[in-house]
Amino acid sequence: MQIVFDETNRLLSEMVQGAKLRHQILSGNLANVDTPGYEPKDVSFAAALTQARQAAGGGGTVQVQTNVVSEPDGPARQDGNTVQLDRQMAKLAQNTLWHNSMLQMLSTRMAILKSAIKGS
Amino acid sequence: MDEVSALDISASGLVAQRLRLNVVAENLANAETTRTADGGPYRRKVAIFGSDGGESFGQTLGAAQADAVRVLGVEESDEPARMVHQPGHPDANAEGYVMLPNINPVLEMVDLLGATRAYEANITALQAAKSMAMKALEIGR
Repeated sequence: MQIVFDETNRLLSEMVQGAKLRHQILSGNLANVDTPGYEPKDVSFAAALTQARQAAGGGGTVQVQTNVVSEPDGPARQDGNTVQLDRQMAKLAQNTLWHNSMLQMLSTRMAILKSAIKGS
Repeated sequence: MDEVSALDISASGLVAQRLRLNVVAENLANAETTRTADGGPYRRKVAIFGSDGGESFGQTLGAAQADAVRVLGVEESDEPARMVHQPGHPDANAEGYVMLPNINPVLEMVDLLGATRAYEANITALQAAKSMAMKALEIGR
């Protein structure tokens, strides 16, 4: 049963969780595009993954960690809001593609397992 | 369910922007209203938005939470009314000036465009959340 409960599947599903969290955060930024003084947030999890990999030395279990950080997009507008709509939309599109590609990989692995069970 | 709260957050953005559109429409419709229930001309209204951050349940638990947007209220602008010389107008004062609402149609149209774009951005985020959830349902199919 290595293919069902192995490291790759666990990592893939953790990355999907991360992408879902990032989508939530980016949606929050878009909802607050006209809120005075609002500072956009983002999720940094790719860096956490690299760090975790280095710490694990390749052998141990790797944990995907997500951090929500405040990240101004650019200079503040007159109302103190620092959300840039175009940048947030680009991030959102990127994150959706990222999420779907992780899911596609999971799906493919499940399909491999399925064809192994069926034997045809 | 992350998708559900992502949908809720986008919905809060839609609600806020739609309210802003309603306020703009009200302002434009009343650009020449000289009599109101409070007496005097109509006053320009502005929707005030606030972020729903701070003391949310998720943050108390240590998990970082995305912020929905909240409409804090609709307030009246305190800009002075426009004084237009129209001696024949029934609401003109002794010098022949009429107090017209403090509404600048150009400003309202710009606000209208901003609200429309922000509404569309929230729709896009909502559709992305929906497609992500649908994609997740297809695993193993």
